[in-house]
Amino acid sequence: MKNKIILLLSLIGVIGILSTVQFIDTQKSNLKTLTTSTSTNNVAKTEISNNLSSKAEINNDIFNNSVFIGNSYIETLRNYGIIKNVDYFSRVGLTVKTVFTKSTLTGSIPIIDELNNKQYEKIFLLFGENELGWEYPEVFIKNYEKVIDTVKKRQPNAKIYIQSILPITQKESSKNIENTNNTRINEFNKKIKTLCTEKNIIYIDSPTDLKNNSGSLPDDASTDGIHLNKSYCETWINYLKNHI
Amino acid sequence: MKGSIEMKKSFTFIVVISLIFVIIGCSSKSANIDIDKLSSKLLSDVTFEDQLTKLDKEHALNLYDVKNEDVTDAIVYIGTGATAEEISIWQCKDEKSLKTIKNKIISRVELQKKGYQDYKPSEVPKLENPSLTVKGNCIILCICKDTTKAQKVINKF
Repeated sequence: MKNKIILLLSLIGVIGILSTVQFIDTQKSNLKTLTTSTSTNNVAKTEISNNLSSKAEINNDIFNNSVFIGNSYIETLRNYGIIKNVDYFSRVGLTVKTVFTKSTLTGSIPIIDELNNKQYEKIFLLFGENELGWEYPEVFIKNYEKVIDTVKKRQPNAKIYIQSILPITQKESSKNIENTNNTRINEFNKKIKTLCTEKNIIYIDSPTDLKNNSGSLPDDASTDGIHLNKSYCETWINYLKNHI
Repeated sequence: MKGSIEMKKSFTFIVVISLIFVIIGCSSKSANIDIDKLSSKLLSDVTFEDQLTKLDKEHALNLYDVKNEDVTDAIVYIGTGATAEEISIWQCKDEKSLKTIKNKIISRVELQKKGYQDYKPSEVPKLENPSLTVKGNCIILCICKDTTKAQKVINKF
């Protein structure tokens, strides 16, 4: 009986030892993997960061001391991290009216008041997609004018750029949800362009690469027909770089 | 008699040693999760309405306002803005870091909820019921429509 107990306990012991050996091996292997991946990551990170910094120096320096203000297009641009050397004051659903009342999601003051804290060289504004459903385009323009006047007053030395409302896909345009269609977008853009001429500020037209033959956003550019995926967002920013 | 006492001592010794080994052995189920594999599995097995894009680590840290020293690794995928869908997986340095990052994640979800409430209310249910899981020093957030499916995928890791 005692022999059986000894045998049983020895068996448990062996299992325990084996488990422990396996544990030590796993830990060693984890440590090895971690060390390897850390060193690999460090190399990769260095390469990426070198690439990024050189890329930034070559391509994104033009945006130094700039700020982007606007709706979900700007929010997405910020989230993708395509341009890192700028400030962003954006919020999904932001309009030329709510820019005076709503803060960024992490902020505590109205977005327009963020311009009181620092003087910028370039200011990029993008509004309009959320206002397409407004009954009168004139009301949109009147409010946009108020935004421009306020920006000019608070940033007297800055160059102001207005990005046109970007096109949407044909499919989304056909749905015409809250008047969101390309004909309406073109109508609004014409009025924005005129306003920019009157105010002596720079109007940036929609990039040709964001339009197919019918003047709509290509289907592969967006999942909802409106918001740009990262690849098309980069196309937009490359266009912007060449037009400022 | 002496032999019997020595035998008893031997039993006790074997039992204690065995228990120690068994306990150490059982704890070998390491909480280290392959976060690359987990993110790939979530992307392949869960249906997302949006096109998700992977952020570089530096930008992921910025987006969540997390300090680099709190994490050993992180993977964040975000949507195009069309939806609030998102995957974020954080391998935290220790338990304290995990608590900090968990709070950052909760804050991010709350902020997103605030943003989408008046913009796209249809996205709010995803933000009200996200899949948020802690596994060892790893914390996993998946914002999608089919939270149950996401949770199943996470549970298998």
